[in-house]
Amino acid sequence: MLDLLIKFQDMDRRWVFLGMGFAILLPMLANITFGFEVDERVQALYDEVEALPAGSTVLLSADFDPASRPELDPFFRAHLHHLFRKDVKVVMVTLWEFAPPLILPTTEEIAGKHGKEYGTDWAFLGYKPGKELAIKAIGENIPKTFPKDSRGNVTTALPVMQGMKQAKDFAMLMSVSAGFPGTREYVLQIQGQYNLKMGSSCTAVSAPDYIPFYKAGQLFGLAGGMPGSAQYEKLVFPDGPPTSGPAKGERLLATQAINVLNLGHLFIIALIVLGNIAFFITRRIEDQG
Amino acid sequence: MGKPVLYVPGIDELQDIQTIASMLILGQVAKTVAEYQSEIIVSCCIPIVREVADEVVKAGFYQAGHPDAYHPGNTRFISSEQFAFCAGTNGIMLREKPATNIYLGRFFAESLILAETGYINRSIQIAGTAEATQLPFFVAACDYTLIGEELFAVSAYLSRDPRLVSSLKASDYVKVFCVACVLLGTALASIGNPIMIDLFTIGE
Amino acid sequence: MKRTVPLVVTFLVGMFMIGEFFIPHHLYRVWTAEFLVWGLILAAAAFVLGLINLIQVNLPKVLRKEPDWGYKLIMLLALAGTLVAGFAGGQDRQTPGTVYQWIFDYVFVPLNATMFALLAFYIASAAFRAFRARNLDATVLLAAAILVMLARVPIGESLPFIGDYLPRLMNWIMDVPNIAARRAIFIGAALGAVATGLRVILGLERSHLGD
Repeated sequence: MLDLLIKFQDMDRRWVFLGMGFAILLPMLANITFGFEVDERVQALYDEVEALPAGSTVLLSADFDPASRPELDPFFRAHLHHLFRKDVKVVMVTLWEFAPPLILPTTEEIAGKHGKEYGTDWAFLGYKPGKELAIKAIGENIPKTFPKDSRGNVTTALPVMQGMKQAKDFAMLMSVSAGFPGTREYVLQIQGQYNLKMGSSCTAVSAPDYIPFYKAGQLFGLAGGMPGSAQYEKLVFPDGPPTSGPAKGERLLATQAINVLNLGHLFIIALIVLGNIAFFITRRIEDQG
Repeated sequence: MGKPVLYVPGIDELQDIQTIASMLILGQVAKTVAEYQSEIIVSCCIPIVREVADEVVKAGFYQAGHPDAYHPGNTRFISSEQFAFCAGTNGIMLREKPATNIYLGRFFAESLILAETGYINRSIQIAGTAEATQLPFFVAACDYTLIGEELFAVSAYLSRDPRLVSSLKASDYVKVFCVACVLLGTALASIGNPIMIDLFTIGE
Repeated sequence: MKRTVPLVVTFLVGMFMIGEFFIPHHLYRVWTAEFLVWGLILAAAAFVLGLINLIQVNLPKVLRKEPDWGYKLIMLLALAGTLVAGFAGGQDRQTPGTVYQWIFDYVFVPLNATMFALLAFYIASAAFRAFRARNLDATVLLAAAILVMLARVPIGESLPFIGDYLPRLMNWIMDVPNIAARRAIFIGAALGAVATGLRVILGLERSHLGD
């Protein structure tokens, strides 16, 4: 018995990997679904975007890469649908060099579905290196920071950029951020200085870091990781995957993935509990023996 | 004995303060490694960090009186892409089997992958970062973890130079001042006086 | 001289850059922005050195057929292939249909996502190993971890008696002790960073110069 318990505690990690693999595959193969509630931070984010009047312009900084795409792309897609169906204009920038090939095709696809025209209803100004410096420059003067957009058009000539010189001229700044540079740098560099209305979607590991900003009112909403993306999808598409309209065909990947996340969490909890039970029993046997 | 030490100075640019702190510590680590006539492998994510690290390690070996033991090929640029760097560093760990892994600097998602691979090798692992999001992973997987400001204090602690140690004392005094401001501000805000809040508010 | 010149340059440039936060004159910012651009150019030039270092370290190992030389050969071939594809594509290298974009879409993106996905498995093994109630601190950590994870899972909310309280407890843990500790780490790290920066600028720290 003692040997078995010790073996269990010191088991080859590949058994843990195998168990985790099963926990991830099972919801996908067996179509196991769990319900979930919407967090107040995600609700606040949705409400603020929902309150935007038609014709207003949002500055969207999409800063993620292939590694963080599964967590943030679902939010990004749902957010674009949300903005375009409210006839809100979108000006997009990015501070991550690997983001453009990910975000541009997605935006073109969703804008096309909503009948939105490039230059009039949306624009992508491109990637800007420089991290915090780029953010400061965005706060001070966007046309100077991005003299031309990603298609080579002069930024000031774009109809969507009329009257938009600084970040504070936009109705809101939304940061879809996988790390550095991202939400924190926007908050530290320009949110406070210009008192910008700012929301964020971030990876799950960064969310605890940004909760203080939400509590302090520097962020009006925060969607953290896959759960945040799934909750936002639930709010934007309350009837589930849309079967008609511009959003027809949206798969709501975060909502599907949340089931995997839940089972994965349960597996880890079970491992920890069993590991501790084995630990205590082993210690007791050793103390007695 | 006889196994190398692996030093990873984080994945951020040279101008990041955590990378600078890591370079300051690397000099002393390189000197100690040279004194014990062992090897140090430095795995770098940013090319310019690699150049500075190379000079620092060389100087450390020279100072220890073992310039011949310095191998320029041991300070390596792997890749500027985060996970490619992580994969390359893991490869170094699994092939070279260092006795000690030292992770000091700014890390992001690759931190746990590095630390777990190091654990597989049964290396002694020392980590230090001011990235609060990565600290839990290092604490779980490494033997010793330097949290936040401890990373910046290490170089002063190792050198014992009074001028450097005094800067630690000065930052402690500033911390006391910050705590006093927080307590005073909380008390004043509780009675409806926003003077401390207004004093520390920035921007328009 | 060899030590003094870098120290003097560090001091002068450091103090100049700090001045930007206190001197709002636009001409001052023109010069600080110029310095930062010089830094970017140096960093870009260092990429060439990095490329040379990669080849210098790995090519001899391939030629001498040292252990695992095959992996190094693949790395060098991938390096060369991507470099050629990038230069051949030029300004339009990221246009769909180009070789460079194909490498990005079908090699880089899946590999990057795979490495990130490894974290799920490594977290499981690290948590199984690390979360043992060996002492009071470890027990508190363990209890907090289980509570937060359980509250995030729908099954936690459906537990009898405690299900209603779990989300509130989780929010309290995340909003109060978690944020308090993070803020303390932020403040401490910020002060440490200021102290380190000042030590380097004032020349008190010289180990990065080999002193």
